[in-house]
Amino acid sequence: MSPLLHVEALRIAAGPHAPALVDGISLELDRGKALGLVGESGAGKTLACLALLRLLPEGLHIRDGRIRLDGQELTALTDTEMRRLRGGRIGMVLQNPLSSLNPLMRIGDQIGEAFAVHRGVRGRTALWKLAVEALRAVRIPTPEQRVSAYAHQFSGGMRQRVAIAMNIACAPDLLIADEPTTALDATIRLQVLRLLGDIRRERRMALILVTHDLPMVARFCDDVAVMYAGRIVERGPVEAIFANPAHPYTRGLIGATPRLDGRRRLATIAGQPPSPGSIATGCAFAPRCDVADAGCRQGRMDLLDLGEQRAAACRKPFARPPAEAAA
Amino acid sequence: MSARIHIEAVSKTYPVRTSLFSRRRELAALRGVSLQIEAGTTLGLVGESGSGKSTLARLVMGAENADAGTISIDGRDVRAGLPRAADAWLWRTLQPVLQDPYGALNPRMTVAETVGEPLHIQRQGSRAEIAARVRELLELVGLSAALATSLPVALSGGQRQRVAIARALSISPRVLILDEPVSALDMSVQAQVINLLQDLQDRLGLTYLLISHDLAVVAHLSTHIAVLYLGQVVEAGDRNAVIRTPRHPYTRSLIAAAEPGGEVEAIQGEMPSPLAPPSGCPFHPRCPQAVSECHSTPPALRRISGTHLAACHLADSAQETAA
Amino acid sequence: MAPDGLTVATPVVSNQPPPRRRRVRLPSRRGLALWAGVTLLAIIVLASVLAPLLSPYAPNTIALRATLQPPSMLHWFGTDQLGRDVLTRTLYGGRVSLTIAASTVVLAGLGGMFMGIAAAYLGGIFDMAVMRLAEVQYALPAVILAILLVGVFGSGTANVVLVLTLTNWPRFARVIRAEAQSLSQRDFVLLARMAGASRLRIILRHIAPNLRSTFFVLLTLDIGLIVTLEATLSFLGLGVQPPTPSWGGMIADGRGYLDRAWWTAILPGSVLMLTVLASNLIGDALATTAGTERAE
Repeated sequence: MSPLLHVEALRIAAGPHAPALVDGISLELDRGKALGLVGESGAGKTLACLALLRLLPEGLHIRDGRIRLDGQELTALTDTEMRRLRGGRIGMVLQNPLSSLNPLMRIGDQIGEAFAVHRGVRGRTALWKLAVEALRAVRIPTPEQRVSAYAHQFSGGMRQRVAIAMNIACAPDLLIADEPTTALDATIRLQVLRLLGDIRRERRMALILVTHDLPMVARFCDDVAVMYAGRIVERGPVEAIFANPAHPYTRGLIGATPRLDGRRRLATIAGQPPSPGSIATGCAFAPRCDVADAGCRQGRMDLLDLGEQRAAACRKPFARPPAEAAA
Repeated sequence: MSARIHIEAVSKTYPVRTSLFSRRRELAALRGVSLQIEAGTTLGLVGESGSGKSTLARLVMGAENADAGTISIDGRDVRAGLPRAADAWLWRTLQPVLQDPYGALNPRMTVAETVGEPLHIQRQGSRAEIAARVRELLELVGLSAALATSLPVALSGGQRQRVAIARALSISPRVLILDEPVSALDMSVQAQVINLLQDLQDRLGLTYLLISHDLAVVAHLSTHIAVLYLGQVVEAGDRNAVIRTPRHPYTRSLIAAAEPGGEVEAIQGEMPSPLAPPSGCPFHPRCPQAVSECHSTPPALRRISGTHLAACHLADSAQETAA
Repeated sequence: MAPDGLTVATPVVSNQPPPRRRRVRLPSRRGLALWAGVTLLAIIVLASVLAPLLSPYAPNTIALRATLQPPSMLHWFGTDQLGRDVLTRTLYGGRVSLTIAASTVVLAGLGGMFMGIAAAYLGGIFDMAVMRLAEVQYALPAVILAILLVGVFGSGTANVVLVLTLTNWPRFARVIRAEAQSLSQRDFVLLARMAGASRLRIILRHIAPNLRSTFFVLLTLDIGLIVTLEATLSFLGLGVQPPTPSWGGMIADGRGYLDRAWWTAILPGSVLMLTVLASNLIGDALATTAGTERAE
C-alpha cells in the first residue's frame, strides 16, 4: 500500500541562487500514524510544513521536489484546487491559539465556515449544529452554550481545542500541528496532546507534530524525523531511535534534555546551529560533532538506509566519542 | 558567605478591572506563602501561569512590596523604596536573570558596557579594573573576549543569556533570581545554560531562586522544590522527596506531564481564575480524589516528613496511590 | 519532476509569523524611495545654498523693462511683476525657508524630546500638565495658533522660528513620551534599576539612545510640514517680510498674475511641493527601517 503522504526531495529557497532553507527532505507517512518533526529554531520544520499546504511566506518558493497526498501531486495543483484541499483534506494547528481565531467572530460561525467552504452547507442553524458536534469531538464541555461564545471567553487550552475542532471539522486525512502546546501549561499540554492522539486513532488521521519537546515525541508519535540546518538527519520509529540514536545530533539532543531523575550533568552540543548559506561542504553538523573526522567535511551527506525502517545522514552512524565509549 | 532567604506569610493582591465598565476586583496573586532557601541551595518554584510564581520573584527582588508578610535575606528586610544605603546592599546581594534574552539587553550597549554597567554604577574599581573584571566574567560564562565590543544584535539567544548571566554576576551577588532562565532558548543551547548555572553555583556558592513552568528543568537544577497553585504553596520539600514521593495530586499531575512514561491519570479542566478562587482546597475542582471535606475546608500545609510539606487532606493516604 | 522554479504565489496566512531569523532580503522599494528623497532634497538644499554662485541675478534687483517674462533661456523660471528673476528668488527664498524649517525642527524636536522623556519618566502631575498642554495645542489648528502668536510677537524671521517651534513641539513630545514609556517597561531598564542605576543614568544610557531612530524619523517628516506652515504664514503676510524672498511670499505675490504669468506662482510652488515630497519620502523610509529594527 502506498503511504498517505509522500514527500520527495523537497527544496525551499528564496531564489534559484539563494541558499536552500529546506534542502531536499523526503518523508512518508501512513494513515493513522503520527510523525514527530523535531529540530531547533531555524532548522526548517515550520517551512517544510507550510510547504505541504503551499503557504510559504512571501518570497519563498518550492524550488524542487514532490509532495503527494494519497497519490495526488500537490505541487501541480492550481491555487483554487489547493484552497479546497486546505482545511478540507489537510488541517493545520498553530502555536498561538489566540491569533488563530478571529476575535470578532462567534466560535460557531468560525467553525461553521469550514463546513460552508468545504461542504457547501448553508444557513446558520445547520452550520452551528455541525459546529456543536465539532466542539463535542474535542471534548469541550457544554458545546451548545460555548458555540455562541467569542475566542476571548476561552482559556488558552480551550482555544487550542477550538482551533483543533476547526481543523478536523472536515475529517482531514492529514493534520499538521506546529508546536500546538508550546504556549500551554504543563497539565493542559498533556490534555491537548492526548486529545490529538485519540482523534488520530478514532479517525485514522495522519498527524505531523512539529515540536522541540523530545519527551512528547517519545510519548505521542510512532515515527520521528530530526531536522538540522534544513535537512532530515535521522528518521525512523520512535522507540528504536530514542533507545539508540544513530546520528550524533539526535544523540546530543536526547542527552541535552533535562529529566526528572537526578542532578546529573546534561550532555551538550557545542556551538550554535548554522545559518543557511554558511554551510560550506560536507555534513552541516560536522563543526559541532564529537565524532566527526576529515571525511565528514567533504561531499554531501545524504540519508543512508540503516535497515529496520531507519535512516541517518551520517558517515559514522552509532559512533560514540572515545571517552564515552570507554566508560 | 551565607545568604539565607526567608519568606514569611507573604500575600499580594492586585486590583484589576476586567473591562472598562466592570467594577474593580481583587486578584490574589499570593496568599500566605512561606518558604525558606538555605545558603548555597536552589529552590525551584514551579507552577502554571497565574500561580503567582513571578509575583513572588518580583517581591524577592524588591521590585514591589508585599501587602502582608515579610521577606528577608540574612535577617535584613527586602522592601521596595528603602533608603539608598539599604537599597545598595540589596543590589549587591541579589541579581535577577530574566526569561527573555532579547529584552534583557539594551540594544545600543555593547557586551562589555552591559556586563560592566553594575560595576560602574556601584563605583567598583577604575576603568581598567572594570575592563579586566569584564574579561574575567566573559570567560567565566564561556564567552569569547572578542564579543566584548559586539552589540546584542550580533548575538544568538544563548550568547545573550550568557551576557545577562555575566552581568548579573559582575558585582558578585550571593543570590540569583532565575526567572525562566532557559525557556526561551533552543534545546541544545538550553542544556549549555543549565550546565553553566550548575557550574557557577558549585564554583561561587550561589543561592538560586529558580522559577520555571518546566518541571524537568526545575528538577534538574534544584535542591528543593516548591509547587505553587493559585497563589499558595501546595507542596514543598527537598527535590527527591517531591519528585519521588509526591503527596499532592497536583504535583503528581505535573510529574505525569513531564515524565515520558508516566501513566497517572491526566487531571481534568484548567486552573480557575485567581479572581474567583474556589472554596476549600483550591485544587478540588480538578482533583480526581477530592472528597467532601476538600470542597469546604482548605487544607493546611503540614509536615509529611523532615522538610517535606504538603497541603492535602489526603496526603497520608496518597502514598499508596503514588507508589 | 516538478518544473524548476515553480512559483507558489499564495497569500501568507496572516496568523503565521514568517520565520524570524531567516528573513529574506527582497529588492527594496523602500531603499529606492529613500535615495530619491535624499537626492531631491540635496539638490534643493545645495542649489539654495549656492544660489549666489549659480545665479547671475540678484534676488531683489528690479527690472521694470522686463516684467512678467515667460520662462526662457535667460530666465529659466521667467520674471515677476517687478522684473526680478523668479528662479533666483526661488533659490534665495529656499535659503530662508529651509533655514527656518531646519531651525524649527531642531528646536521643536529637542524641546519635544526633552518634555516627552521628562513626562514619561517623572509621570504624575508633570506628565499630566505636559500632555494636557499638548492636547490643547492639538485641538487648535496650528495655523490659527501661529497667527495668534505672530500677533503677540510680531512678524520677522526669528519670530517665525519661535512661533513654529511653540506650535510644533507637542507632536514630538507625544510620540517620544509613548516610546519612552514602552522602553521603560523593557527588561533591561528593570535590570538597570536592580543594579542600582539612578533615574538620570537610566534616561541617558537606556532610554534616550533607543529613541534615536524615532527622533530622526519625526525630524524628517516634520521638515515638510514646517516648510508648508512657514509658507502659509508668509503667504498671509505674517512670516518673512518683503522684499526678502520666501516661497510663501512669492506664491502670494504671483497669485494675482495667475492668468497672465502662471510661472510666478506655480514654479516656486512646485519647488515647495518637491521639498515636502522629499521630506516625506525620507521620513517614511526611515520609519519603516526603524520599525523593522524595533521588531528584532
